[in-house]
Amino acid sequence: MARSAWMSWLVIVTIAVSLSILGGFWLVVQDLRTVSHQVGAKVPIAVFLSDDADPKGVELAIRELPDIESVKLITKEQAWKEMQQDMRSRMTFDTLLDANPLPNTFSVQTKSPDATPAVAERIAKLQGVEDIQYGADLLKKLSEFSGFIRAAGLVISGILGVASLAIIMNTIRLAVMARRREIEIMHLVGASNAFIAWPFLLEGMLFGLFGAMLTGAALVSWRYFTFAKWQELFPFVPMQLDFVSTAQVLTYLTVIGMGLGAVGSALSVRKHIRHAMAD
Amino acid sequence: MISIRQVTKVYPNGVRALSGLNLEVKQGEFVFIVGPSGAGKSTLMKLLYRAEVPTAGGVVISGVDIGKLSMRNLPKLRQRIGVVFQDYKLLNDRSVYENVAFALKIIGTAKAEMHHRVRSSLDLVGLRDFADALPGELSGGQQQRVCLARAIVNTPPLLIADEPTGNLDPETSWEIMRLLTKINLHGTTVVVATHNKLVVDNMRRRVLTIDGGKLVQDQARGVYSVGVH
Repeated sequence: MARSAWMSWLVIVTIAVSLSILGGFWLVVQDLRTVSHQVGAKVPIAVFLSDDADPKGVELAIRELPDIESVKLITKEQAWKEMQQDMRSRMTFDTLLDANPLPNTFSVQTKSPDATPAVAERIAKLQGVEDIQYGADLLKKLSEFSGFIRAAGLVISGILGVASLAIIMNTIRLAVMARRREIEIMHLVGASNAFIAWPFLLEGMLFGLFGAMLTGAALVSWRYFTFAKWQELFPFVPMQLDFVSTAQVLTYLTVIGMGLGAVGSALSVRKHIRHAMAD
Repeated sequence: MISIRQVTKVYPNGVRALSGLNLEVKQGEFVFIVGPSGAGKSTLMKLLYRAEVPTAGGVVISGVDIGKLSMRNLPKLRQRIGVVFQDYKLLNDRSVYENVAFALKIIGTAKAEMHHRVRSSLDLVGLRDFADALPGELSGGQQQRVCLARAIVNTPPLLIADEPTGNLDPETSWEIMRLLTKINLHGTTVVVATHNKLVVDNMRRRVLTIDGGKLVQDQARGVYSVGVH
């Protein structure tokens, strides 16, 4: 009994480790997506106009595009003044230049961050637009990073998942062996295979459930810890402790864990109930 | 009830246990299967509840060739055949009541119905007062009666007993035989494989003698009369 309790713990902890790593990566990917959205939503498209362009005309053209939230004109005089103020302590502009080198600029905010690249591209083609700038590079990097994390997470979790499966199968095999006599008698008095296998499947699923519960405890505490880190990394992104998405991920992990347990014990029972019969 | 036609059983290790065996048992009969060790009695019994399948020939019970039964339908067959084993095959960590109830639980019998049937089954074998005992606390004869109670608790039309008295003293053996007769009187077909000459000779029932994997004698009111026995 003590031996089997120890075995059960081993199985549960193994499942929990696998699920925690899967869940950890999953949450990081989700956070990165949130950050991308926030960044995308925050960073407007800066549209620089050529000097001979008519700001009014360009503004109208921009407003005709889809997914535009707001268009704000920053005239070259405004921009010049702001810049001079910003840099007053460092240099004197009055003597350096006699003409304002800055262009008229529009700050364009899109309705959704997803729309930003498409909108930016169309604005760039408008007459009188010299150049545009938006957080494309940052967004691209974030998305690449997120893809990498996701791939790494899937590979590592996949390997650990197979390991968990093997340990579940072995534990259920021992359980079947320990109850070999009972199984034999069940068969002889006419119990169906489903009737015999059911308790073992349940055992496997319980392993998965308990594993998922441990994972839940680990991930929620980890969430508290990483939240602070995220804020340090992306101070300009207002983040909230998102327990809804954590709960969602945990639900999926519970389903995956119980599925893993059921599949492991089904494979094991299928193989070993026949053996128990043959003896 | 039982029709065995040209049945041959060769085990994977090459041992030929039965060769071209033929026999018929009618519904409601009480039949002894006798023969020396290694004659093929046990193999025949195993074929009857399909713990083994014949290498050739047909084992037909109630019109169904059970050698061709799919794994899916096997439980249905087993539920209609009560089996009594020489070594009782009881669960030692469950009470007498639970051991008997086991055969009903697996077919999903309702609690009240189950209770009623287990009680009357234990009454029949005279173990009413031992319902809560563990098998280990019982004598061999009592354990065999528990096995018997389990075999008949869902009132199967056929009861198979493989050396039911093999581990019991003469007096206890008689008790078991008396019970098997009682069960037979309720209409259940009973097939008993045994070595017990004393029992067979005194019961004067139909005796099928098997030797060398073949039926060598079929007596309507027979005695145990094989070789040196």
